[in-house]
Amino acid sequence: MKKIVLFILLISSQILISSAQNSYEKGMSQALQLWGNTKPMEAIALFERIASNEKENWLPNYYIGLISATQVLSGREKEQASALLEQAQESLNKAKKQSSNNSELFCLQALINTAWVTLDQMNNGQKLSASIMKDYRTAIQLDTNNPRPLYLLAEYQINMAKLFGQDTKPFYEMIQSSLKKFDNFKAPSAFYPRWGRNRAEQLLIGKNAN
Amino acid sequence: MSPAKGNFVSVNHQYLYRMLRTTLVFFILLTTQFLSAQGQISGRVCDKKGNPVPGANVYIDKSYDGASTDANGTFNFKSNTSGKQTLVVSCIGFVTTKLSKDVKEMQNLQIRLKESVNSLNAVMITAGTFSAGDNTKISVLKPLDVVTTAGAAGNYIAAFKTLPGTATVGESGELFIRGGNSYESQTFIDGMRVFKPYTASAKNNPSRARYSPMLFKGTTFSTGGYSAEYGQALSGVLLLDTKDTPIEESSEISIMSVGAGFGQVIKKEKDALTVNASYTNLAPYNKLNASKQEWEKLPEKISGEAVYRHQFNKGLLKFYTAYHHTQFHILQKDIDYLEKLSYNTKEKDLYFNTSYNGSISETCLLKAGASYSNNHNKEKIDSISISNKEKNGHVKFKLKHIPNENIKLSMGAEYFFTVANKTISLSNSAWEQNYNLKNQLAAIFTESNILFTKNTALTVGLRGEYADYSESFHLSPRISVGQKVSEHGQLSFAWGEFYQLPQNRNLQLSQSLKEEKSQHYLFNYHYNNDKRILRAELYYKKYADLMKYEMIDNSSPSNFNNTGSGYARGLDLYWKDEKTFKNFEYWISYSYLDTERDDKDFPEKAASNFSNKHNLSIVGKYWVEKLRSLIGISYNFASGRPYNDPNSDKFMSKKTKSYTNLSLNWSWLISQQTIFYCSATNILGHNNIYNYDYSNKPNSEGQYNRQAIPPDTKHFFFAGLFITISKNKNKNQLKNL
Repeated sequence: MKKIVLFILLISSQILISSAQNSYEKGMSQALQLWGNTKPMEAIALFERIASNEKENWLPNYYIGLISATQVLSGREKEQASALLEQAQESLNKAKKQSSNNSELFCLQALINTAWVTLDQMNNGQKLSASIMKDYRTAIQLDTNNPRPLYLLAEYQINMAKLFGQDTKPFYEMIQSSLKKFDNFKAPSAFYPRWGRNRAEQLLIGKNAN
Repeated sequence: MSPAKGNFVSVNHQYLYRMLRTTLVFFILLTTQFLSAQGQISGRVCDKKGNPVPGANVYIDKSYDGASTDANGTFNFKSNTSGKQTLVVSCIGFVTTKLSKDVKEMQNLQIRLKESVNSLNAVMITAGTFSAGDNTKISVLKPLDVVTTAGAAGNYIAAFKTLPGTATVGESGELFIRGGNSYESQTFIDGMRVFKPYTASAKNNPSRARYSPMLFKGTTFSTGGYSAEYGQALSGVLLLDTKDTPIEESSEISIMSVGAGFGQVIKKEKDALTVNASYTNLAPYNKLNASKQEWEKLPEKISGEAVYRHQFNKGLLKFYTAYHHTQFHILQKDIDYLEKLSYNTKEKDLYFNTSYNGSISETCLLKAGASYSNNHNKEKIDSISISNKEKNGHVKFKLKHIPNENIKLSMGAEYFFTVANKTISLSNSAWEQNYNLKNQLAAIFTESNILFTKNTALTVGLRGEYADYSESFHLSPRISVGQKVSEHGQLSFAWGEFYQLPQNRNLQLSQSLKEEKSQHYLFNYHYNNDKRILRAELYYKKYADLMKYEMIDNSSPSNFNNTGSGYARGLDLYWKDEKTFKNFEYWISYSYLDTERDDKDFPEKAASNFSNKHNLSIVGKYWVEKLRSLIGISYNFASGRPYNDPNSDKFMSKKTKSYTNLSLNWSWLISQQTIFYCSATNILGHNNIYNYDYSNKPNSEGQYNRQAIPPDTKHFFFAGLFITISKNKNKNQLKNL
């Protein structure tokens, strides 16, 4: 009987652990799915709930910031743009406290600032351009295997070069090398950011189309 | 079947049986738990007025159970938690609300969310204040506007003159706010007083702002009703905030039609140093666009600036220093002399400003700073030498306590000193006259900002000031109220009392002067919606105790007293639109001013010489993407200024003809590193006359002769190339990646 009790305790505690893990995994996959199904606000809400459980985990906050920033970058949110970007910055600041010197977080910082630039190109462009490029460079330095900052920096510089009528070739080379990094990229954990490959490929197609 | 195998089966059977029993028990246990705990949580989220809040995030804290509210604000979800739990409700624009209750009771909840108070939606007291900076809510000018406004040419004072409330006094270059004289406005850098904000200039030639506009990240320009933190200003304050730590190391080179400049940014982890040096000389330019005046030496200016910043864990230290050397020599016709007078001027100005901004605790902020200025102006008018030496200092401490997002309390103390010596001597005689002034001033101030709701705000301030010179103490109360009247519109009202000692050069001549006084009443409507701003402000300013004197032989003032008075009232309108036209933004400022003063040697109350009844500015900027160019245009109209014609019986009864100016400028981004900028003023070639000088004595026919004061040149052209070379250490490495 003792053994049975012990056994039950063992199993149940294991189930509890795995169910806790499951609800994190379930929540994360569900949230990512919501985002994929163009329900970004619901996704943000779910990530917020996950963040309230995961005090040490930077990923939920990272995704709140990422979704908010991409909402503005895609031009889908005009009315709430400033509020969304402030929310993005707030979540990023929390994530930075949970994980320091994180290449992905520098990337996100640059994305948020790029979104500010799209809102007021003339004023914010001049103010934020230098720090956007610097954050991408820091992101590359922190993790040389991370393909995202490389292609994002290239994209930013391609837009600048196009505006100034300059050669864009070296930046497309950067995208090429980012694709190699995408091939070799191994996410260190589940739900670790993996996005970007499609966009990088599209940029290359766009180049050939021109 | 081998016995061995059978044995195994039986063992296996036993194992299975036991296993089944355990799981069964376990399942029963689990399901009953589930049944008892899987509670329904439901309710509705609404705002203060009862309107549904859709998209709010409702969840049980430290669990994954939750949902977003639907279009009706309702939510409904299951939770397998039990007992007392915390329900969290959050939504952008609202204060996150928490509710602790037994899960069983979390049904049909009615949750009212309080709108969060932040810079985006809360009322801001805008009476009197124009802000240029990052705060999009109340900003009327962006930092870049100072450089890209046609006619401003990098002079921030000129950019502020396109805002309502300022007069057009072409020959001065200084700010004249709402019927006030230019000395009635004070300039502050990082909260610390600037004592000589304008560079020396020849008589009737406009001076420029001394400091480079590129140093500042934001500016606030107040035409009345300002905070109790600022004293010794009857009419306005100009607050300039220097930039924080630069992002990367860079070098800057500028080549201009009037000179050249060089700048360097050196950056370490927590320290940054910026140094600038510039040299301007109008001589080569004068060969292309000759001055109407006779210059022996055209204005030459050498200046150097350095900013050092150190980032502490909890604060930022800024240290700023600037040195300016200005020199010119001009021969000017004076109506009372047959021959031209020779004015030879050298000015040296050294300025230090250091400030610390940091937090003591979560809710407590400390600001401390000091500034010191040493100015020496040597002027030689024919054989008369005038040497003006002034040393000024300012020390300030300020504590700010923010117990919650609705209340800000601040208090502080400051101290000023002035040592001013003026010596007048003749080159061919031993005659010499000295005028000395020593003054100290101590002040304390306190201010409370209370936000009752996001719709109603109140600021109450009190300032006490003791001046050593007049041995007098003054209390100046200041009150302002803001009330939101619609989603994008708000009303503000401000009232305050302001004291200021007369200018040093008058204090040097008399021991009996005391503070001049003004009272402001402002009533402001501010509308801001989606890149459109409308402001309308009615004001009344009452002057008392203005300085008066008598003129003896038309040259030396005497019998100083404080029996003068005056008033200024009017309407300021401002409209800015960045939305209607693509890539085009414009603003329109109009000011109506009605003012009379009885000060200085006025025999009666009369409109002052530095007031225009109507002032209109229209500024437009068009961004041409293909040319990477910003084209700016600005138009300025000012109705005539009153002047006194001694040939007339009525004092100050004549008016100059109106003033108009149309300026154009072009900023061209050649590359990320290079900007070309050029500008031209008075495109339409209007013959403006600023003012008239009358002779002190009548001529043989009993008439007083006069001469007009026109601009130095009809047009002013400026061109410059500005190059930034960023020192990017990673740049070359990138290609290897």
